[in-house]
Amino acid sequence: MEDSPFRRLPNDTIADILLRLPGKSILRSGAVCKAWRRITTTPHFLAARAGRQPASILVHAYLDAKPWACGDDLRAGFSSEDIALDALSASSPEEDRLRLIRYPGTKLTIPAHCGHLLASSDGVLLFKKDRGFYLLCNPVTRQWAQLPRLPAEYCRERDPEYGFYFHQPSGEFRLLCCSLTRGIWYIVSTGATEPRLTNAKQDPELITRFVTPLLTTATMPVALHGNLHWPPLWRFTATLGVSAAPETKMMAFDTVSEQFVQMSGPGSKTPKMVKLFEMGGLLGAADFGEEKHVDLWFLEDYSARVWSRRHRVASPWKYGSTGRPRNDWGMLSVAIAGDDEDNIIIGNNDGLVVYNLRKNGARTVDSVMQRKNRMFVSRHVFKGSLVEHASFAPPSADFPLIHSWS
Amino acid sequence: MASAGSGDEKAAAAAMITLISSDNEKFEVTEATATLSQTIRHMIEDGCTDGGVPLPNVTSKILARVIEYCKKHATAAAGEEGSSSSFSDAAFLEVDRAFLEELEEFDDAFLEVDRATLFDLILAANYLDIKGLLNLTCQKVADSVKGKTPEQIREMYNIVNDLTPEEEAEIRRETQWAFE
Repeated sequence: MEDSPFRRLPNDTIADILLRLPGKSILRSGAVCKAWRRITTTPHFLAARAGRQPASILVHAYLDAKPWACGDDLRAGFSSEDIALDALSASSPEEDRLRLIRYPGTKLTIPAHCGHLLASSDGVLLFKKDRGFYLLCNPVTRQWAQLPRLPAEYCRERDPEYGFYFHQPSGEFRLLCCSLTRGIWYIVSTGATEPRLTNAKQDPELITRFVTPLLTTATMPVALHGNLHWPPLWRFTATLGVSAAPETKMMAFDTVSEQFVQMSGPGSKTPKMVKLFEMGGLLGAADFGEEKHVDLWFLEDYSARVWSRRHRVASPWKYGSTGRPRNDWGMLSVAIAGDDEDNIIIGNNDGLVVYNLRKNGARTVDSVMQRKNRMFVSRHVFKGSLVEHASFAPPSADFPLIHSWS
Repeated sequence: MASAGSGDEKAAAAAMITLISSDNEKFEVTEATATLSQTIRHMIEDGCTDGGVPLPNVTSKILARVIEYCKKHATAAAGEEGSSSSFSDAAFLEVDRAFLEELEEFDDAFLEVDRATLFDLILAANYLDIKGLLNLTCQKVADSVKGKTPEQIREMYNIVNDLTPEEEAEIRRETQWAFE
């Protein structure tokens, strides 16, 4: 038998080849031989892989039910529908569609309020199963983790969750919560057994005028440079000067010092119609306040807090269309995600468009806009990651109601 | 606008480099073509290309193919430089697009080679540090592996499975879903 041509290639080149594969194929290639196993499990390879995964928006797809094998599902009640979460990349949402997870759509897997999926951060999805009961899932590695179950005194409030992020210094996933009745901010973390109060002295009553809970926020807080950012909610009109540009303020949470800070927002006349996003390492803000176009602002200089309006793209919605969001509730169903190649996907089920900001190109995503496909755009952004975090484990019998079968 | 600067290019084209393959065949190429290789670009910058550039790792058969690729893409690079100053010219953009399509077709045809040649091209692209060619050839191999089972990959590329049954069972247990 002739020798394998791969034996002639240096390991770096083999890594270069395997890095081009989708996550599933990479895991399979790790089972080919010892050399490939080594190559695909080095921290360098895993980090490079995560970095290549394109930015995507998450879409809920409703499917005919599969016969589920698990007895617990039967006890939970028969389901006529399954729900799948699909990731649609910002560059080619039609072709580059990845099914992340699928589960039966029983009442028990979806709480009565609209969100079983609360947030997404660094390749990990946050599900709320019940008050004080949270599951984390990396759908690429199929690993699961649980946040510590909250004691009863923390479970009285309905929507205490305000931010979900990866805390780089500790390697922990953290959930920032607030109890308005007790006037405290606390953090639930994969690395702890109990919730921990933060040092943040700021009164929750005051801060929550600027930030809204994960369940009802139009924009997921965007993590960048160790801070979580919320879109502007208020507009400050300059008292002096006639032609002063509108000035907005937005809130950020420093995940290291655990303090809230106020920063200047983009100069929008309609701050409630602004969505934040991250693109190419910059904080971006899309202003949906106008009927015919969407203005894209970027925080060009993070430390100097200088925003500039860099692009104006045509509205994803036809003129006079009912799909265009009219208020902050409408903004809940609007998705936005940008990648490092100047592709940005913007819109909802009534109009979803991919823009290339460099080439001034625009393409509508028709498959999502067709009602018969029963796909529903969410405001969640997902970037896959193969990083295996401590405290995550393969799926087990502990998680009977959410499955990771595709 | 499209033809602007072509005089300069002709002047630059006068500078020729001689590449010498492992089997001692000599290839005369323009500097623009040769400098798609970062390795050769550095040699030119260091002024050590007089008397030809010996490439002991590349056979004449493979070098001829590599030069074919570089020639095509060197013209493409020159075209891009020219276009940046006149991007608003719609007619020019049309020409540009047609050229890019042609380039894509060229790349597709270029990859119609047997497996041994494909791996030779990867090695040459790696050694000569030609980003575009390395990208192109690595992607071709990646596409051939995509969606295959470990068994199929081993069979396709004559790879010996040196994992112990225990190791293999462990890998599959860890990430069962990837093997279904």
